[in-house]
Amino acid sequence: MSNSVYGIALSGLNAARAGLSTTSHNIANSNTVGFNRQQVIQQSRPSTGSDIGFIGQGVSIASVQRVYSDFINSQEQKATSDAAFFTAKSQQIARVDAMIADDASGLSSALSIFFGAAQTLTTNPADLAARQNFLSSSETLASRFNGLNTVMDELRGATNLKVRDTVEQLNNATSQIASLNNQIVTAMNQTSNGGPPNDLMDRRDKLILQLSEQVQTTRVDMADGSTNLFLANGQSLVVGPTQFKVQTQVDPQDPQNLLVGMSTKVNGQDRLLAFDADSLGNGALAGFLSFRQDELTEYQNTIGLLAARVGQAVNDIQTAGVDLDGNPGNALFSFGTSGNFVDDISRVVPNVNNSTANPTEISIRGLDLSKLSAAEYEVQIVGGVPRYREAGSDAAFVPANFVADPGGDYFEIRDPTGAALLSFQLDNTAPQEGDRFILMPVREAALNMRTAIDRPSEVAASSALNPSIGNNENILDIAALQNSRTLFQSNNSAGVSISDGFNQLVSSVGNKAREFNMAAESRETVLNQVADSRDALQGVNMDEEAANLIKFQQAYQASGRVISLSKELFDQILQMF
Amino acid sequence: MAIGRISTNQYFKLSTDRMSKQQTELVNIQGQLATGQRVLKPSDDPLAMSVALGAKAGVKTIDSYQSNITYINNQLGQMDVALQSGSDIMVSIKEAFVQAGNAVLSPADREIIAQDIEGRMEELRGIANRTDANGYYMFSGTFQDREPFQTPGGAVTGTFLETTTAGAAEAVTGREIQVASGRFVNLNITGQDAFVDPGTNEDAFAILRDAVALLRNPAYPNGQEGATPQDTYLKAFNDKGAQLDNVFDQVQISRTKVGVRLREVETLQQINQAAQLELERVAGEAVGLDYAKAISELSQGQLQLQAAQQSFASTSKLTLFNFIS
Repeated sequence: MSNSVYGIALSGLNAARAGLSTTSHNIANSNTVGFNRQQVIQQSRPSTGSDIGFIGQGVSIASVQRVYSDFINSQEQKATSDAAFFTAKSQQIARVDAMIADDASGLSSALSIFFGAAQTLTTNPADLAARQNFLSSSETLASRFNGLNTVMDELRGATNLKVRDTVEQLNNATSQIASLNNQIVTAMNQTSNGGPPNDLMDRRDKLILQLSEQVQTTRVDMADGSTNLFLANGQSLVVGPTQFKVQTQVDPQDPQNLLVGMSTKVNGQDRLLAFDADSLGNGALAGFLSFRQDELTEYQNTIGLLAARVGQAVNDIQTAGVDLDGNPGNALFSFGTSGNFVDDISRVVPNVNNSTANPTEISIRGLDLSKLSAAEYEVQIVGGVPRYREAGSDAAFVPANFVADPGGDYFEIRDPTGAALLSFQLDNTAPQEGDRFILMPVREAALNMRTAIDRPSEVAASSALNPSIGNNENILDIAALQNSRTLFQSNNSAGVSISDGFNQLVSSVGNKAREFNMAAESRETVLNQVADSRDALQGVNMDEEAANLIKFQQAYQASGRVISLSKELFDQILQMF
Repeated sequence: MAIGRISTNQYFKLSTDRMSKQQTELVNIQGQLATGQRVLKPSDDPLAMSVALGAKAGVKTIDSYQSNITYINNQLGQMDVALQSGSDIMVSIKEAFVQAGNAVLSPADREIIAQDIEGRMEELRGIANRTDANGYYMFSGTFQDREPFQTPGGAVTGTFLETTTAGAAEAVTGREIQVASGRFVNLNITGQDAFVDPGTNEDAFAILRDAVALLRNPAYPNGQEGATPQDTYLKAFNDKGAQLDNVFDQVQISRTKVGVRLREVETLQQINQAAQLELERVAGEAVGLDYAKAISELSQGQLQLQAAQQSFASTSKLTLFNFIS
C-alpha cells in the first residue's frame, strides 16, 4: 500500500514540477515575440481494480501544449497581408502627395509664371527684357516638368529597391520556414508520445506571420507536422523542407523596370516568369508592384502628356509666327535629339520573353495628344497580326485597325468614336507569334523637355501677316493657351485646360493617397483586433502565471507532505514489531 | 476562448498604442497651427486642395492682367499728354489760319504767318513722332520702330508711315492686350487715327505744307479760272483750314478714345481687384485653418494624452508578484 502511496505522491511531485517549469518558461518568454503560452496537460493514471473498487494511481503528464487557435492565426495572417498591401501603397504615394501641390515643385506656379510672362510680352513685344523674361519662364516650365519626371523616376527606383528588399526578406523567411519544417518533422518523429515541439512551431508561425507582411500566402498544414505555403497565384513557396525562391531581374528592355517572378525552364533555358501585380493578392510586394504599375505609371504619363501637349501647342503657334528679326519662328521647346517629336516623347518596350531570333519590331508612327490619356498599350502578335489592350487591364486583346498606306501600311489604336489615338507600324515583314510590347506614348516627354531657343529676339511674338516688332498677335495666342479648353479632350470630354489638367492630377493623387491611408488604417485596426484576440488567448498574463506558480508550489508541497506522511505511516508499522 | 482574459504584453501594447496615436494627432494639429493651413497636402482634403490651386492660379493670372493694365495706363497716359499738346498747338495754328484769312495781308505779313505755321508744324511733328519711355514711336501702331511722319525731302514725300508695305495700314491698327478674363483693350491710337484727315487721307503735315505754300505764293492753284485771284487763294486756303479742322477733330476724338479706355481699364482694375479678393477668400476658406477650432482640438488632445499617461502610470504598477514572496 505504502508503495503505491509513494508512487502516487511521486507522480504528483513530477506533475507539479512540470507545471512549475512550464510556468517559469511562460514567465521567461512573456516578452518573446510570437511565443504562445504553454500548459501542462495532466491526466489521472488508470486506476487499478480491487475487491473494493477502483483505486486511483496518481497523475501522469499527457503533453505540454501551447494555447493556439488555427482560426485566429489564419485570420491574423490575412489581416497582416491586407494591412501591408495598403501600407505599402500609402507609403509610396505619400511622396507624390507631399510634393505635387507644392509651390516649389508642383506645376501650378510654373504655369502661372510662364503664361504671366507671355501676358507681359503681349504689352510690349519689342521689349528685349520682356522677351528674355518669357524665355526664362519657359526654361522654368521645362525644368519643372523635368523635376516632376525626376521625382517619378526616383520614386520608381525607390519602389524597385523596396521590391528587391521585400523579395529578399521573403526568401529569407521561406528558407527558414523550410528548414523549420525539416526540424519539426524530425522532432515529431523523435518524441515517443508524439508531443508537438511547441517552441519550434511558435517560431515557424512567427515567420509565416512575418512572411504574410511581404506576400499573401495560403497555408496547408500536413499531418507530419510540416506546413506548405502557396502564393495567391497558386505557385509554391515552401513545400516540406523545400524552398522555392522568388527572383528579381532588371528588365533588359527597360532598365527602370524590375521584374519579379520565378525561374522556369523554357526549351532548356532559364526564363523568368514575371508575376503580374494583380495575381499576388495582398502583402507589401503586391502593394509596391501595383503602385508602380498603376498609380506611378499613370502620374508619370499624365505629367508627360501635359508636357508634350503644352509644348506641342506652343511650338505650333511659335513656328507659325515671325520673330523680332523678321524670320519665321522656330520651336520654343524641344523634347530630345532624335529630330522626331513622336520618337522623342514615346517609348516602346518589348517583352523580355520575346523571340530571340528575328523578334518583331514595332515603332510608334503618330499620336493624337489632344485625345490620348495617361494609358499605355500592350500589344501582342496573335495570328500574325497585332492585337492590343490597355496595359495593366485584364480586358481582352482586340485587333488593331489596319490602315493600307502606299508609304507603308500601319495600324491604329482608336477611341470608341473611331478617332485614331495612336498609330504604329511593324518594322519587319514577319511578326513573331506571341511577341509582346508595351507602347508608352508619352513616357519620355517630361524627361528631356528643354527650351530650344536662346536668343530673346527669336521669340515669334508677331503673326506672319503684316509682321512688325509691335505685333503681338502670336504671343497673344500663346498666352491664350492658358485657358484653352481644347488642349486635353481624352475620353471625348469637353476638354480641359493645362491648369485644370494638372489640378485633376493633384486631386486624383490626393484622393488615392487618402483612400490608401484610410484603407491602411482600417486594415490596421482589423489586424490589431485580431492580434488582440490572439494575444488575449495565447499571450502570457503575469498575474495568472503568479497564481499558477503558487498553485504548483502548493501542489508540490502537498505531494511532498504525502511522502513524509507515508514515511511516518511506514515507521509506525515498523514500531509495531 | 477565454473571455475577459488579457495578456500582460497586450496591456502594455494597448496603452502605448493609444498614447502614440494621441501624440500623432497632436503633432498634426501643431503642424496646422505652425503653417496656418488646414490642408497641407492633397490627401488632407483633395477637393479643397484642387479648389485652392485653381483659385491661387486665378489670383496670379489676374496679377498679370493688373500689370498689363498698369502698362496700358502708362502708355495711354503718355498718349493723352502728347495729344493734349498736339491739340494746343493746333489751336494756335488755327488762330494763325484765321489771321491768314484776312484778305488785305501783305506778302510780308503772309511770310510771317507762314513761318509761324512752319514752326508750329515742326512742333506738331515732334509730338506725332514722340517716343515712349522705351524709345518706341507712340503713334506708329505695331510698327513702333518706324517714324510715323517723316520730314519730306529726298525719297520721302511725307505721308504716314510711307516706307511701310501696302498692307501696313491695317497692321498698324494696333495691339490687343488682355486686361481681364475675356476682355481685351486695343492699346494703340495711331498717327492714322490722330493726325490724318479721313476725308482726303492727307496728314496734318501735308495740309500745313500746302497751306504755307499758298501763303507764300497765293497764285491760281491748278488754273482755277473764272474767279478772282484773291477769292481763289482764299478758297484754297480755307479748304486747307477745313481739312485742318477735320484733323483737329481727329485729335479730339483720339483724346476721347484714350479717356474712354483709361476709364474702362480703371473700372476693370477694380473689378479685377474684387475678383482677386474673392479668389483669395475661396482659397483661404478651402485650405486655411480655423484657429479657434484647432486650438481647442489641441488642448483637448493634450488633456487626453495626459489622462492616458496618468492612468498608465498608476495601473502599470499593479502585479500579483508584489504580494507574493
